[in-house]
Amino acid sequence: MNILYLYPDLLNLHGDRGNILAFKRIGKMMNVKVNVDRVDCFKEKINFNKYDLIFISPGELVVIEEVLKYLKEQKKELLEYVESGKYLICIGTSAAIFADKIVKEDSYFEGLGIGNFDCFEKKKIFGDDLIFNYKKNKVVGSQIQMVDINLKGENYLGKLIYGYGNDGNFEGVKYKNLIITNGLGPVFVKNPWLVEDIIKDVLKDKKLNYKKINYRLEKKSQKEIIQFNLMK
Amino acid sequence: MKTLELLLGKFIILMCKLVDKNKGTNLAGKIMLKLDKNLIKKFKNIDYEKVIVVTGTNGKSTTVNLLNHIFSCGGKKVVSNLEGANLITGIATILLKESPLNFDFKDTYFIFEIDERTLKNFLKNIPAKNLVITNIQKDQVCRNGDPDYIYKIIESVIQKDMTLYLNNHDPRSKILEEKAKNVIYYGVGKNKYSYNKLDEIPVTMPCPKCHSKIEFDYYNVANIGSFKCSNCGYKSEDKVKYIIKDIDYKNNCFNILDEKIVMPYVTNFMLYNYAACYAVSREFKIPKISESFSSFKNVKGRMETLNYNDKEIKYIRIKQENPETLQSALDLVSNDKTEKIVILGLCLLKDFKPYYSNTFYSYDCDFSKLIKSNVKKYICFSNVVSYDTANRLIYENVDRKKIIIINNDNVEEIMSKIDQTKCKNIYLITWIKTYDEITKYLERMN
Repeated sequence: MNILYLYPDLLNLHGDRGNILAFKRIGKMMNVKVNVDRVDCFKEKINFNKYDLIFISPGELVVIEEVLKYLKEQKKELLEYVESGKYLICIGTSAAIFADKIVKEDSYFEGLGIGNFDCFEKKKIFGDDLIFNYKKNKVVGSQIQMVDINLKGENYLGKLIYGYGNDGNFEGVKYKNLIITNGLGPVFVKNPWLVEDIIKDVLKDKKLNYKKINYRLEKKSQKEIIQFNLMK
Repeated sequence: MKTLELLLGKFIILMCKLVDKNKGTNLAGKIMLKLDKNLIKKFKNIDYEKVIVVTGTNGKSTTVNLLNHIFSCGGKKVVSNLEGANLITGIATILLKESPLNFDFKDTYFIFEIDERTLKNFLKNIPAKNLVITNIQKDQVCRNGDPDYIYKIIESVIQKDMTLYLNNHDPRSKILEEKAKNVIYYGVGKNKYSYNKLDEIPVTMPCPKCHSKIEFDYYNVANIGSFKCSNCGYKSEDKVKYIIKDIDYKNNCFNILDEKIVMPYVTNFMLYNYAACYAVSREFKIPKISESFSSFKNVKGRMETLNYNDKEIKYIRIKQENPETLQSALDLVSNDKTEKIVILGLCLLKDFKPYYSNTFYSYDCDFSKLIKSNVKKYICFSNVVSYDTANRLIYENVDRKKIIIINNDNVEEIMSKIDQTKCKNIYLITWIKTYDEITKYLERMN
């Protein structure tokens, strides 16, 4: 499985490199070789055809504005990548990359416009845990909310059980396999069964042979965090 | 200011000290500022050229305490907030406490630690002409979000006529050089503990000028080191006047400018603070600097050694949500190659409500050197987040059998696990509250 880690040095706020480590670790347990490439430099052209999954960590809005200048040059290929159903996972503030519009206090700028939502910069930063339902899973993480996501349709990722999510109602954005979440943790370290599901989906045409994975530690962690937050 | 106001302020401070000598660093200022919001401006003869403000993410308290010590030993009258009350109410309290009855602060130096978010308010009241910035790093993300947020706050208060003391090796704060006419750089040279990142998927940071990748020739401390932008040419200065060199860790000494300094604590994360203090002291022509360094006693609760039965517990403080202090702790422990037990308590975040379970900052840290440094056992403790802490180690391929998990903050249980181990060399990495509880527990036991 081939993963592209996009601008890991530039978009790097909350330890989200751990998500890539999760894909490598769970992949190894599934006897799947996970190759990770990085694009570090703005001027480097991205070869979208090569990858099964693209990962983007959260970054500062001022850096995201710069990132967009270069990604817009490859918008057509990026859109084709998303429309083809390939995975693109984007965490936290970097949701702004895909927004139609990102509204700041005294100005706004345009995102790539994939996913049908807007982003609004918050005046006051908000941090808390985040728990939501996604498919048949409870997903547990934290969030540092600097940017609200305002969906224009019912394209949310999951329904909130605890926390703020996008704006107090729903969490994240899903369009085909473009997955945008506010969840930190790193979210795939804390919910590694999601990694297993994604790898299985990416390699659905291949026969995977591996021992059942023991998620005892992560399940215990999840139980503690859910209990702690529901008692607040 | 009326004498009555001053006496009332001093009375409140005295009462607070009688109730609890460790408390009351803000209360008098809080009350008196409510009665008179222009209180601070009413003190007389504060020479703004003699006001030195220290701000930044890490190292403020050590820097202020050492500067206060150097200036005092050099025969200067100094007022500082040494107990770390770095909000405007704390500053008001200390001024009330130290003010003579005629409110006249003639010939006095002021060295204050100021929280970045309080800078604007402080400088409105006391427009200091000297600003020391230790570094700008990820910290208290539930309040500050990202380093750019803090950078903007500091940038907005800098005046052209200020003298800035800037860390030559911190990309995020060195960029402030563009904002003031007079800039003095300080730094630490390459040394035996300088390193490059060895972890899987290493990451650096965006350039504050052009947002391209910053590359480091080497790090001395997490995200602090000799750097250059991969694109625009922004970089550390090649030649810096105040640079610590020839560090002798065994004999606790180093050279800076034309002096040899002997210092009770020589650890990499404190060396930048020392360089800043030396730079300020030389610029202000303070005498006897090297003697002052030798006699300095650092703020308690940063690095302490506790004796417990036949064991030695070395405590290294971390700030939660701050990967740099965690990385510094890991690096310090990994320099000890003898067999050891490492106790790691990342703990729930309880500084502000809502309390939450952030341990993700640990994934910004490189654990690889620690793992290779002869750790016999790890003990991961805390309410709620002990399993996440253990998982961080698992992600570094630590054998699960080497990890003991205590799913609470119970000090007795932690000490009981220490009792069960034969190893006498113990490192404790956690926040200050747990350290305080352990010291109280040991005092009760004794």
